[in-house]
Amino acid sequence: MQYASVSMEKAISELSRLPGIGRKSAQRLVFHLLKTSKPEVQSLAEALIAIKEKIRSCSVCFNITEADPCPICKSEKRDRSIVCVVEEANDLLAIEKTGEYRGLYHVLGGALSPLEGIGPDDLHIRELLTRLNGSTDEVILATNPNTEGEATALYLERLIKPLAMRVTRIARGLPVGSDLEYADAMTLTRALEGRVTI
Amino acid sequence: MSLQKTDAVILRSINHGETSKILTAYTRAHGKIAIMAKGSRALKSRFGGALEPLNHLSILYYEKKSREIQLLSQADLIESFPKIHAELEKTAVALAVCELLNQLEVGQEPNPLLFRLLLSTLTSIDAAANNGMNSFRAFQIHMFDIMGFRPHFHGCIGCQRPVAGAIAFDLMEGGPSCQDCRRATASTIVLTQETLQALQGLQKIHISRLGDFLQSTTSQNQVDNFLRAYLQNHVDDVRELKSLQFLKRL
Repeated sequence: MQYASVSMEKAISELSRLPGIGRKSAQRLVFHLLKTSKPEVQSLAEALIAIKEKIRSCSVCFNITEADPCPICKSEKRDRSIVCVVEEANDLLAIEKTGEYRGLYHVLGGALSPLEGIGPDDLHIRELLTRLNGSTDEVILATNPNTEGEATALYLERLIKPLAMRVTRIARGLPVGSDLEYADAMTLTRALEGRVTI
Repeated sequence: MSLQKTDAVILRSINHGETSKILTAYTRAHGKIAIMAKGSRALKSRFGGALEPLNHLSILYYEKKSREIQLLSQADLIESFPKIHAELEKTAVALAVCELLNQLEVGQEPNPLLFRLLLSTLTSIDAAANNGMNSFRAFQIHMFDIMGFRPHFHGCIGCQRPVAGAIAFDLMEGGPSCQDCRRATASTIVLTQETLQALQGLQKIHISRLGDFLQSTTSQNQVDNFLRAYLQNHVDDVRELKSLQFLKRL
């Protein structure tokens, strides 16, 4: 359905291009914005523009940041001997949320994907190898536990192992709070393989 | 809407929405189908890690003829081919098999022979001492057979007489042609006697017994060129396989 207002039609069409938002949701958002005060809408518009104008990727770890290098790379409190390799900046945020990890990160910008034709040159792998130096003791491979993530971890392991540093892979297995009875065979196998002495 | 149960191999998986996946699966009973696995990327999904590409599963799904994407209900892992997942080159070769099968218009017609060939090929790549490319080559040769355009490598396709020296292989007719039988309009590819013998061998040897077959790089390249040209002559819209390009970039 076309609206009498060209601005409204444009707003709906633009919002419905966002992931997870269909035309109906976009329409609901536009009606909500119509009822909202002008300063609030202005603030939203400014926040959206600021994302594009101020946010860039860190030249060291490729995390999203406003300052280059990012606060994590710049921090003196971080353990510089450990680098955790993740696929996307979202993964970095998930690990940061745990509050358990105090080392540095490296964001690859994706994962190797034979089916999509994404090869090593399409990721920040060369930059990772350049930044690994004598002060790095351990590289944690925290790529996703799926076909692409595993392929990426295998490839990185092959490149990093000859550099004489410890290469570790995050554990794969049962999620906390789940029932063993309902776990699938593959997850259980991985959990048994990754068992630890207590 | 009916509930269907069949064996399946996952050819491809794409993320959908926040936690779901749309899978392309090649099944024993219903050919190639697209299935939605709702919530399968959630941490506590009942499907767990079973829905990764290359896995052989027993699946239960709701089928509605009027819709293109069916709905997955249950998935139990039968075989995960662990050595394929543990070696990058093998992963790329096995995914090339899936990518090729996905490109073919095999539809929803059951083809138990093709399904069995797919499983044998994955098993052979899993067990291979090398990257498993010979299994991929043998898969293509046997696939031509199953799909009804088996190539012939013994004697001239026209007069059955042996062909000596460099061989002009008629891609449309599916066999070598001697000078007397050669058609002026034929699309041909020139093969050496060595390549012809390698292709005969691949056609004859069971896929599980390939071992160290075809070790020379020159023969491997010639066989690959032939397989590509033959496939493109018999199947429309076959694109370059991204998995093989990936393998070359490693």
